[in-house]
Formats: sequence, structure tokens, C-alpha cells
Amino acid sequence: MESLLVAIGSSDIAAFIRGSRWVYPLINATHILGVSLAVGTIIVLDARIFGIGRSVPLSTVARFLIPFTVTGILLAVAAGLLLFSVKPHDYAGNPVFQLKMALLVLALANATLLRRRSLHRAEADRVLIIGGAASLVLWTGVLFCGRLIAFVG
Amino acid sequence: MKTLSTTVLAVVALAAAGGAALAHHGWFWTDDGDFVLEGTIEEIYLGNPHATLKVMAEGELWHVDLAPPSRTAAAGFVEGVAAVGDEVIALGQRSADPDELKMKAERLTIDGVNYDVYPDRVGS
Repeated sequence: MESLLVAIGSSDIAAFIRGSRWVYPLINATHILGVSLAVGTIIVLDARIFGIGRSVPLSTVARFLIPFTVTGILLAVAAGLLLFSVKPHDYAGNPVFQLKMALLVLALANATLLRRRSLHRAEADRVLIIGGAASLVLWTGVLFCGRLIAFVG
Repeated sequence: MKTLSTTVLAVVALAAAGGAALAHHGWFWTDDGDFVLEGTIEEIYLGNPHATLKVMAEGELWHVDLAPPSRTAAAGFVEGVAAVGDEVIALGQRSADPDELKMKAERLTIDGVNYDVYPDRVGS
């Protein structure tokens, strides 16, 4: 773990981002774009799971939204790794960052289950409603912890 | 509704937990009065997301936040103007938490030269 952090922090790309004037805020903005796309579409799918917009079948909403969610997650993770590389030890040791990563793992596992179940149902069942509630809490928590990193440490 | 209240609760709990160590962004975490730290530079960091110094003062290691890199550079505080071991005077505000050895500098003085990283705040 320690050697991995050292390798990330001493990489050329980390050094470049650290010293850049415009690239760092650009990566920052890309991270926000990814988060907003992912969490935004997740909240809409959760709303459909809770019964908002019943005129469209759940599976149709899921099939339409999930590619946007996945794109958003990939963008956020890629930009997030670059932001992390600037000060890997600081972030790895930051309690809010650690909480964020723990919540993110749970949120992703829950999202995988929700995806599978919602793609094949016209209407949400009890399991999906519980999963949707967990999804709202977990992703809100991930987002809040992410924002809090800049204020703690 | 229950989900919403759970979320609100979680957010409030997190905010409370984080409150003790709030730092970095803005000035809300600092004490209002002017604060002067005199010591020896132990570490200089000039990169993103903002420049920082580690300063040893009377046997205590302080963390000194400066401005984002472009703003710090605009103040003239660039690579080469200071080195580890140099004496530094940092003027600014310290953490409102008396146990936290952390401050945010508005002006650094090294070898008689002032570097105003927050020029609009110095002397206000």
C-alpha cells in the first residue's frame, strides 16, 4: 500500500498536474461532471423505483438511464484518480476520504444489484424499493464526503 | 420521507464529525485575530490544490496554508525564493481550534522580503 502510494505520487503525470495552472481545475471540473451525471441519473432512477412516473415502465427508464450513469462513474473515477495522485498520502490518510471510499464500494455493489433487477421489471418490488432507498442514502453520502475532503485534514 | 430524513440525519452527523478538523477552504475555520508565526521552514509545497509550508516554531511543527499555486506564484513566492532551513515570518490567522497547529497565511516574510499571497487581506 505504502509503495503504491509512493509510486502514484512520484509519477510524471502527478508531478505535471501538481504544477499545472489550468489542468488541475479542468480535471476538477471533469470530476464534478462525472459525479453529476452519475448521481443525477441515479436519483432519477431511484425516483422511478419509488413510483414517480409510472406511465413509463421501470425497465425502459433503467435501460435509458444506466448508460449515462456508467459513463458518469467512469469519468468521475478517472478524474478522481488523477486528483488523488497529486497528494496520495494526504488523501489516503484523510478520514473523510476513507469514509467516502467505503460508502462508494457499498453504493457500487448496491447499484449493480439495482441495475440487474430493474432491467427486467416493469414495476419495482419491495427489494428494489429498499435498494433504491439505500442508493439515495449511499450516493448522497459519497457526494457529501467528497465535497468535505477539501475542508478536513 | 423516511429515506429523506435518514439522509438528512447522515449528512448532519457527518458535518458534526468533520467539524473538529475543518480546514483549508475559506477562512471560516480560522480565528479572527491576526496571528504571527516565526520559525524555520521544514517543508515547502508549491503545487495544487494549494501551496503549503511546514514550519518549526519553538519546538512545534506548524502547518501553514498559502493560496492556490497561481496566486502564490503571483505573490512572487516561487521555486527558489525560499529553502528548507530558512527563517520565515508568517502573518495571517490561526485555526480557531487551540489544539490545532495550523494557520492560513496572508503574508510571508523571508529575508526581509514580503510575499503577500492574499494581498487584499493583509492589514485589513
